[in-house]
Amino acid sequence: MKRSIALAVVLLTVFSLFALGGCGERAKTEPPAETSDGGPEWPSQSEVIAAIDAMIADFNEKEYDLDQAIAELQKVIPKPEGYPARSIEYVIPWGEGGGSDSYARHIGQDAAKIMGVSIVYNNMPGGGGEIGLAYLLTQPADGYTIYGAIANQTINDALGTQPHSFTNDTDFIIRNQGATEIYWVRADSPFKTIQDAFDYAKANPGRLTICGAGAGGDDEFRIASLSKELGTDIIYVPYDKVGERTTSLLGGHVDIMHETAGTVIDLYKNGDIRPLAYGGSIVFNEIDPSIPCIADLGFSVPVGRWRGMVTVKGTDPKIIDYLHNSFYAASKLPYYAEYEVEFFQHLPKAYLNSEEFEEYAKHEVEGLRDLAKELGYISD
Amino acid sequence: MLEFFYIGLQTTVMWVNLLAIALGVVIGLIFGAIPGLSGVTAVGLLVPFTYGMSPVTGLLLMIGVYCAATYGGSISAILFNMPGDVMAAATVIDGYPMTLKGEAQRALAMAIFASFVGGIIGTVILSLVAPQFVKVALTFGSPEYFALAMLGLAIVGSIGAKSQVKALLGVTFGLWLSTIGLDPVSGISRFTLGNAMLQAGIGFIPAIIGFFAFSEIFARLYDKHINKDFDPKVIKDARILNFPPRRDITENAGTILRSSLLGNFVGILPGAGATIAAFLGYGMAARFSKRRQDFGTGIVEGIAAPESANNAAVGGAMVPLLTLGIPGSATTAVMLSVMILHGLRPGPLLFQRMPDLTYSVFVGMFLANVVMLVFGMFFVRFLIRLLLVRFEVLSLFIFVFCVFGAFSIYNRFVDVWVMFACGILGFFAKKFDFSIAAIILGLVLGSIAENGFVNGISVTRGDFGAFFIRPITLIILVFSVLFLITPFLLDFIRCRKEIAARKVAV
Repeated sequence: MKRSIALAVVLLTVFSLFALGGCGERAKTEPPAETSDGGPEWPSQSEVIAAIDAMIADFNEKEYDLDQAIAELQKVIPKPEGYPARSIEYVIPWGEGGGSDSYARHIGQDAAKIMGVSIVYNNMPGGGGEIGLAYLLTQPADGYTIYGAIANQTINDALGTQPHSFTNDTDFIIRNQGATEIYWVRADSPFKTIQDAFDYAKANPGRLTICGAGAGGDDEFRIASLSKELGTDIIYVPYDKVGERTTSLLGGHVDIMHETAGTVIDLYKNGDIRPLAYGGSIVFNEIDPSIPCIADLGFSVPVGRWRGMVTVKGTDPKIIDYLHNSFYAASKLPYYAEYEVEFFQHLPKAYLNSEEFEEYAKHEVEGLRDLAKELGYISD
Repeated sequence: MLEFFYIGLQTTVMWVNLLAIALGVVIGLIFGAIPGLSGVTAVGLLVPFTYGMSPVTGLLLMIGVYCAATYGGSISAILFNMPGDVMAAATVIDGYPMTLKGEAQRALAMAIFASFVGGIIGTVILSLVAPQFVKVALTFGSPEYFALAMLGLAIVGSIGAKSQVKALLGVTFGLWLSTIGLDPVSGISRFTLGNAMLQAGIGFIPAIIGFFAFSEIFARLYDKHINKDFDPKVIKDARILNFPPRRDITENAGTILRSSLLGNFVGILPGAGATIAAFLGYGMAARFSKRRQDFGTGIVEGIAAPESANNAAVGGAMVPLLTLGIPGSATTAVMLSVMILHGLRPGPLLFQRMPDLTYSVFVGMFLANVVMLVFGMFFVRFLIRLLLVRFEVLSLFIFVFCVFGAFSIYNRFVDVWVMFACGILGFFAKKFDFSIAAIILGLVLGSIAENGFVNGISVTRGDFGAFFIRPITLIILVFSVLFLITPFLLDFIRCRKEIAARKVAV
């Protein structure tokens, strides 16, 4: 008796979960009609994305709906034989609700439909993303485990604090997001322009405080480099959680906050905070074209927060191409594209294909290593 | 504003949404009550299910889980000396002694009642004065967080009933545990022994599972007194509707109210959380109560205080999420991710943009607390019978859930090893009468104290004077010192009086 009641309760719970979810969309399981036999005419990534772009242009003119678009994309994207045969694990090395989490789950939604298998998201935070990377490197190089990397990985690689190397031990897939950080102040701040803040910093070394995300990350490097070029001492205050960063600015505990545009744009629209300068080398006309970007003021920008994907070194290049093409196509479909606009991620021209991404990351590591030596983070 | 409440009510009472709340409460109770599983695990596992739901339904489901799991943790804390969820770590201190005294039912009834009142007070504050309240929370900078952590640490005197010295040693050990991992300011690895996996540090949840639940299994196996003998007759005669006796309510009304307000405020702070709220609530009660010397021996007040504080913190954690778009706790971070995945942008404009959503959250939290009270009161009768289940059987299940729970939070196997290690340490701590609650207190507050101190010194530009005499910091620090010295002061005064009395007698 009791056992049957328990069973009924369990079934009822599971059933109502599904009922709440409506009929629950299922990813298409049937593979696309034509599969490439992997002959000599395997197209390059740029050829495939040209075809995808043409398709997406058609789609945007509303010639067909999303399901048809995905079926068409499956035809355009050449598929390696026997891949993917099961679900793909996506390691998100940061917690739920953060930028990396949103990026993965947004781009993954349509990518999973295109690939016809589900993507299993695995949030594995800690150690500035290195716990997840260490886990990735224990997995076989079969393309079934991918890892969402950000600029922390090139920095840690440059500092050489890890037993592994991000750029040498992984195969690069795609980069979709670029830096959108802005120097924000509270609406009633005495600093009207970034020059006011710089003048203050120069006149009062060790007085100007700027908060950013965590220790030893891209934010710290930007501030340290800025401080060095100004020839003064700016205090960098690291907060791990976005909530702590925002409240420390709004509460007037720090002078300036270095934060991505999308996270705090509502506070700007609400009139609580205003931008002083763009952190990188682009001026965002959509936010405020009248304020400068740091690069235009003559400062160097060593690193910015980009997001992309990598997998284990030694994966079949065709699988890499397939993943690149699928995620590229997903990034152009409305679910991800709308999110990108909402979070101002469409502003930096961030897309890099596998080869460009690898080159970019290696170049960044070189630059960071020199900077780290200059700033005294590493000796020799 | 009333019309918005009306809209919220209309949305919430749709049958899918009511079902979502009820289902959320049941899942929350189960995940909260089972040692090893926690509310964060439940909410994380539910994320994929919310893809197909409307955003309101998904959020209400999670709110149900969040409220109920915060209460559910107290059930196993009271019955088995193992907090089912981290927020109930402070409830163990008085909850389990009550069970040993045969007052399990009274303890469980107070836990659900205090949780309910705390939850409702938290919800009312959230829905009426959230925007004003968040302004108060903004005055909390790093130095204030440091002071708050000090206040929390100062209550150590109240939780180490048997030996103050051992409680202090325990708290110090907990503080040391919290320094394992990456340094929050320089990013350098500390005490990781070159193991890349340990860079993530010692997570609260695996540590709490290990220290409380695992060590309890070891301790009972070692003692061979594995089944505590409870009077089966008393247990089977448990009342159907478990409402605490009127005397318990009237005597604890002040404690519950104070704890709820305190817990709600601590919940708003994005750097603190429900666990800290519970410890502070307990500490406050233990210092200001008339029966302060009885805390730790199993009194109802010791359950009312932490349980009302942690459930009030749930409402608090929703404040920064809904007014600023920033999560105040691990569970609200998952809710934020669900909102973003549905294309909603929580932020200061959410109130204007989507009043139906925000007000359904308010109404939903209210309903979730009511559903929780009803379920809680009826379930107590069945839950209490778990005491009659042979512990050999029960411990097997708990063992499995502990391993599963420790792993499933962040999918890192290292957390399972952390749990095992903490379980062994917890066993020895129990053998030698060290307070486990003190170790957890140190672990939970360590990183807040450290970040608050180091970042606070940056915020005040290296000026120690400015750091300590900020008004709020100063008030809290003075309170902390008072907390620490009052027992000794009172002892001193009593001794003087006794000596004086003796002199008179002579």
